[in-house]
Amino acid sequence: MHEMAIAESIAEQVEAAIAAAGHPRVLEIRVRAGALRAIVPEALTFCFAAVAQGSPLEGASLQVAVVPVTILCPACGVRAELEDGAPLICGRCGGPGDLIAGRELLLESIEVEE
Amino acid sequence: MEIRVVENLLKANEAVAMQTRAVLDAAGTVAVNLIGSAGAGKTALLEATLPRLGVSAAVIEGDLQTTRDAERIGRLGTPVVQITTGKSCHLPPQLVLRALDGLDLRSARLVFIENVGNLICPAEIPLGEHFKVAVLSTAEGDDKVAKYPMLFHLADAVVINKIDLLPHVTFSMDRVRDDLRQVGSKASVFELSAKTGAGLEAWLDWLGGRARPR
Repeated sequence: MHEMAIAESIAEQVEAAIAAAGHPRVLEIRVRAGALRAIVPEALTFCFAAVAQGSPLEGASLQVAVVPVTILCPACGVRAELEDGAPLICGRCGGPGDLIAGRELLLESIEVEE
Repeated sequence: MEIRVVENLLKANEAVAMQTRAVLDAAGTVAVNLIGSAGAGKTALLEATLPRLGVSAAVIEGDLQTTRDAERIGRLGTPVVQITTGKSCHLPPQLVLRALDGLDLRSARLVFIENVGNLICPAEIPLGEHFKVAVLSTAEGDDKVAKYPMLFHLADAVVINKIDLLPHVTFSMDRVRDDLRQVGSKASVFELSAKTGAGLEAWLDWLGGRARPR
């Protein structure tokens, strides 16, 4: 159950960002999570709602975009997006691929009231 | 109106992990983060390893509850600090950094950090360690590598513990090795039994090779 800790980070970082913008009301928060992070979007939005309760972020909607795992083969240069997040090996030469996407966990943007 | 942020949500953790790494590097100490399921034999592995290890070591023990693991390590005469996380499913980097204060790093060339028994969260949260070691046991079944690809992709070494149980459990070493290849693992793999001591030599050599000369 790592979603709670992540929800807390989201709340902290969003509050810091809106403080710099003069505390506008937050409508929506957009997060990008790599598929390898094994985040369940529903669990994260549930945890976030709990964390936000009673705070200025209460009622803000959390959108979680899951980023597919992408590998780049260092040997033959093939780049591939993996539908199931596996296997992390090059489809052409069978060597281990370097992860170039799928591990990120980013607060991307915040939609605030004008 | 949209505010673009694009910030790593784990940046607070990563900043602390970098501090930990700096403290370790200043002392010339190499840290090994042991990650595995509850019951994989992480503490037993340390009990088998520490008395046979040719280099000085210390241990940071992470558990949700109790100081039992730290007591087991303490009986070996190895300096140990216990962290009880209470509710956290992984060791938070802040507590590991603080735990370093309780150790004399100058007299420890290796520090083992035994993480909370869990294959997911500890893989994601950096502690400032130099090496991640995944500890898997034959009793858990041979499907864990495919089920928890992140840990096994990142691990620098994989210890397959409890090989003494192989006659009694359904566990295909070939399947594990094939799955490791499938998750793009570049890890050194050690098949051993912490209980009988079988296979420990290669693991001890690997660890010895990670320590920095003093």
